Formats: sequence, C-alpha cells, structure tokens
Amino acid sequence: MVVAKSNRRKRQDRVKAVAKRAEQARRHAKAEREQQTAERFRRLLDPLSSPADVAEILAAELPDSLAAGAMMQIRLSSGVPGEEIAQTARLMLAAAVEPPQIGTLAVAAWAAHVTGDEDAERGYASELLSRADAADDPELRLEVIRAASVRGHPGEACELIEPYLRERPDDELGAGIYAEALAKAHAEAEPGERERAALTRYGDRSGLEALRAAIDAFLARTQWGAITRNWADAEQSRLAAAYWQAAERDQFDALAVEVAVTYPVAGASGSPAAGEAASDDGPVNDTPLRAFAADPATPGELAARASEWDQHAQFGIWQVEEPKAAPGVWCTELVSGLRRYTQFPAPALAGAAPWSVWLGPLVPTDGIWRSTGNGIWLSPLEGDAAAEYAEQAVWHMLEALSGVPSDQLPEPGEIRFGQAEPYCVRWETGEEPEPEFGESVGPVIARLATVLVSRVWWKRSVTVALTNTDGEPMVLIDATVTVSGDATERLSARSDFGEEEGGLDGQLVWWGDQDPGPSDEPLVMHFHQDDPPTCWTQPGTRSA
Amino acid sequence: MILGRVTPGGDRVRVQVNSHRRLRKLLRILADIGAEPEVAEQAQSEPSLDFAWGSVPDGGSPPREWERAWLEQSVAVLDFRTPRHAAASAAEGNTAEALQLEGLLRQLEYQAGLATARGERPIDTEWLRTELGLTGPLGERLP
Repeated sequence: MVVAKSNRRKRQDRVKAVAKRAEQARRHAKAEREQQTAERFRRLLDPLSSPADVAEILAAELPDSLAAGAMMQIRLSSGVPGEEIAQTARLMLAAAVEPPQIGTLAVAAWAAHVTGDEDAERGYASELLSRADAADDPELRLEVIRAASVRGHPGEACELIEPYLRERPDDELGAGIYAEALAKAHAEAEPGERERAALTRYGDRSGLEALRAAIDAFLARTQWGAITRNWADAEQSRLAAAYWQAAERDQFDALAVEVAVTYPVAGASGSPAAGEAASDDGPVNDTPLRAFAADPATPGELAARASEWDQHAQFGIWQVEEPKAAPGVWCTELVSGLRRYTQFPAPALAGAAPWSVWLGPLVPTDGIWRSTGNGIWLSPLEGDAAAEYAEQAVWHMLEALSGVPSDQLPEPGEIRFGQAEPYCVRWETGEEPEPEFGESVGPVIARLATVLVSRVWWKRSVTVALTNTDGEPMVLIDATVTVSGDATERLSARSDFGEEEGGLDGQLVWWGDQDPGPSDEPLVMHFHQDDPPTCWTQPGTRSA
Repeated sequence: MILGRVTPGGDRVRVQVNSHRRLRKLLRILADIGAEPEVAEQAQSEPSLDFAWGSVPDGGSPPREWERAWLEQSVAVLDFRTPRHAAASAAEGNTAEALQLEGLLRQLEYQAGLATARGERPIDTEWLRTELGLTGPLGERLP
C-alpha cells in the first residue's frame, strides 16, 4: 500500500533538503578556504614567490601577528635575497592603512635588519613594544623581545627583558627568552658592546654577595644570629657522623644556615630565644630574612632583594643536564618540575658531571636566578632517591594539612637509593607540573635538606649490600644447565612458571608467590649500619 | 614476583637468578620434574649499589670491551633483562622500560663525566646510545 505524504511532511522534507544543501555548501566553502590557506602558506615558504605575492599573502593571513616577521626569517634561511625581503616590507608599508599593523611592522623590522638600517629596525621594534603595552599584552611584548634577539640583538633583548623579570622572576616564558638571548650572546665569537654588558650583568654576583654580607652583619648584631646558629648546630649534632670530613661539615653548616635564614625554624630548634624573637617581631617577621627586610636600618635596595629572596627562593633537587656555564644552566626540579635558568658561582660547577643533581636553594636577585653556592651535588641515582623521598614527604604534609588523622598517615619510608623510580626522566614524559603542588615542594625540601645530605653522605660511606626480596645476598647468576628430556615443557606445566609478556622467545619466568607490594622491584637493599633517624617534621609555612 | 628466568636451548637451559639459594631451589625443581640438571657453566657477579646496572668498567680493558659486554648482560635494575632487550621492548612501546633504560644511561653519562674529569677513560655512552637506538631526545622516543 502506498501512503501519500502529507503536505506538512513534504514541507518538512523541503526544509531538511535546503538545510542539508546549505550545510554541504558551508563544508565545501570551508574546505576550499582551508585549501587556499594551505596553498598561500606553501607560497609563503616557496623562495621563488615574488615579494608582491608574499606581501599580499602576509597582509591577508598574518596581518596582526609577529609570525609575519618569522616568515621573513624562514625565507632568508631558504635563500631569498635580502633585497626581496626589503621589497616585501616596502609593499606592505605602502599598502598599510595608517598605522601599520603588527604583521607589517614585524616584516619591516626584519627588512631593516637585513639592509643594515639599525635605527629603523629599532624604531619598528619600539613601535611593536608600544603596541604590546597599549594592548596590555605581556606575551606579545616578550615575543617582540625574542624577535629582537633572533634578529641578532641578544644584548638589546636582555636589556628589554631584565626589568620585566625583576618584577616577575617566576615567569617561565620570560626566563626562557632571557636564557635564549644570553646563550646567543655567550656563543658570539666577538660579542658587541650590549652583549658584553648583558653577560657582565648576568655574571655579576655582587648584588647577592652584598645582600649576603648585610644579612651576616644583621645576624651578628641581632638575636637572629643565635637562633640561626643554634638551629644549624642542633641539626649538625643530630645528623653528623664521625666519617664526615671538615669540608663536609662546612658544607652542611652553610646549607643549614641557608634554611634557617629563609624559613621559620625557631619552633623546630626548641630554643626559648627563638620563641622570643618570633613574638617580639610579630608573626610576619618570623625569619631572619623578613626581619632583615623590615629593619629600618636596612637600605632599601637590600631590603628589596631580601624580600625577593623571601618570596621566590626555591629549595629543590635540581637536575642539570649539562653543567657548563653558557652562561647559565637550566635546572629542573625533580619533584615539582619547575625549571630555572640559573647562574652558578664558577667553583660550584667545577667538577659537576652531566645529569648531576644540585640539592640546595636557588634565589632570584634582581630577577636573575642564582645558586647561592650552598648545597651539594648528587648523582642521578641519588637524586632519584632524594626526589622520591621528598615527594612522599610533600604528600604526607598535604594530607596532614587536609585533616587526615596522624595515625592514618603513612610512616616515613626509607630513602631508596638504587630503587627509586627514575625521577630524572619524569619531566620529559609529557607530565605537566602542578603549580599548587610545586609551591609546597620548596619548604618541604628545605626542611628535609639536612637529612637528605646526611643520608647521601652516609650512603656513600657505608658498605651497602644488595639483597633480594628473600633477604638473601644478591649475586647475579647466569648459568647454563644441562637437562634431559623436554624440561621446558614440564616446567611450563607448573603453575609457578610461565611465558613472560614481551620476554625472549620461549623464555620462561619463574614466579614467586610473595606479595611484592606496590612495586614489582626484585631488589631491596640492606644497609649495614643503623639508619640515621628519619625526620619528616612539617616545615615552617610562609605567611604572606 | 619474578624469582628467575629460564631460557630453553635443546638439552641445555640458561638460568638467571639473583642468589645461590634460588639457583639451588631451581635445580631442585628441575630434578623433581626428572630433568637431571647439571650446571655446565656459571657466571656470577655481586652488584654494588652504585653499579646495580652492571659491573664496573676496568680501566685496563680494551676500548669498548666493557660497553659491548654491558649491552648483553642482565642488569639488576632492568629486572635482569639486558639493555638490548630493554631497548627492544622500549621500541615496541614499553614506556616503563624506556624510562628505566634512559635513567640508567644518564647515570652512565654522569659516571663518564666524572671519569673524564679525573683523566680516566670514560664509558663510551654515545656508542651505547647508538647501539641501542636511543640517540634522539627522550620526549620524541616515547609512544
């Protein structure tokens, strides 16, 4: 039976058909636009495209983007003559409705650069910076500065970015651009005057040294000196061992003082004087650093530097891929994933090998991150173990702060030298740092620093025997055993033997029935000495 | 939990374990199933903490001897796999193995750096990386 469509149904079908045709047309138009855009970018990258073509495409596709300037860099590197770049800029400027857009200015800056007109180049860059400021777009400002560095003016880029970093030492984009510019200046065979000046400013530790000297003088004339000394001495008494050399005692002391200057330790030391000092100065000035910054006798410049230290200093377990000053080194904090481009005092880097791990504080001074020089180098293996231990401590602290009853908190574990997960590769796996977690890491590592140092030295000093999970002395045995009959088939029939996923062809794995716990690690280590006491005291928290 | 590995090979099997007691226990199992086991050859090493990834290079050995041996030896922290085996497994997408192996290579690079600074012959880590096909940045090698 054939049922005729109703008029209503016919209308609905017509509407649907129209909508479908419109959708198809939209898709077709979109695909065409995408194809045209792809073709335009192909022509932009084609060194044979004419300046007129390039100018037209840039005006259409990248009118308000610094990427237009980057296109000039790419064209230059693919062999396009400088004169064609200049011609492109002339055409874009001529066609521009006043004032020229960002893309045109970026191209003009490159053209001025290749024709050697530095005044014009600086003028265009300056105009771009003004646009970024007018739009309150710090990211654009930073990219304009980066472009100046890429065009061969790293010294100028440093001058422009240093004031920004003084205000925002934690800004990773800014720090990255600064690092690129410094490295470029450092690599120049004959750096220009501005590059030399930038490198000198970067390497100049006098600001930090002046601050340090003033803090030392402040400690000597106030009761903060005794508080700091008592805490450092108490830490050394608690953790020092007979095998420590004089140099190690000095290193330990310097690091302990760094902790006591930066974080509240009065309560931890148990010193009555400590309590007095904290209450006399009120809760805000609960560290020597804060008290120093607030002291009316402290010159403004030093007070500002002390506040910068107080607000931004980062204790950490910092891995350095290539510990050669060029002129700074990138440090990755293994627990938090923070990255800092850091200037180390030359003696601190001497003898450090690739992938060494620095346990100590990094401090910004006038926006430049510097190592104070007080800390110790760990091997990657030691760094992994220290980072794992510190991360557990951070979680412990966060759980305690979130109200988990103390009897439900996990007991502190051991520092698992040789067993810890490879933290040294963690931040290259795509895992993103969590800023909030990162904020907790510095104070915890500061509080653990003395313990970690003492454990590392202890581990280096003692004979360590490896044992397997049955507690038997670890001996790696690789034996060839003659057998009769089809031993493999008979072993396979047993429940404690089986083929391993991903194992060698035909290889059987012999399984044990013990619960391995959260890790399937077959190794455990037994240290032939009583462990030093483990200390997971809650670190002093900062009051903003 | 893995107690050991047995690799068949006709009238011989290769046995890899990490203690004498486990070797004895495994031989007992083989005897119980009627395989009449006899140890024909046996190599053993006692790993120290800092060299849980392999034996210490000997300064007097010919160049690359240590490196060649290391590639084929069972390494404790690789769960007694050889670096070559771990690299193959990493290439097939085993991220955990890739990270462990990279961690080991970095430790070796660190050791090599210290040796160079002391004026000693370092481990040729560049050669090891080439042999294992692990020369690019780690991020680009992970699945």
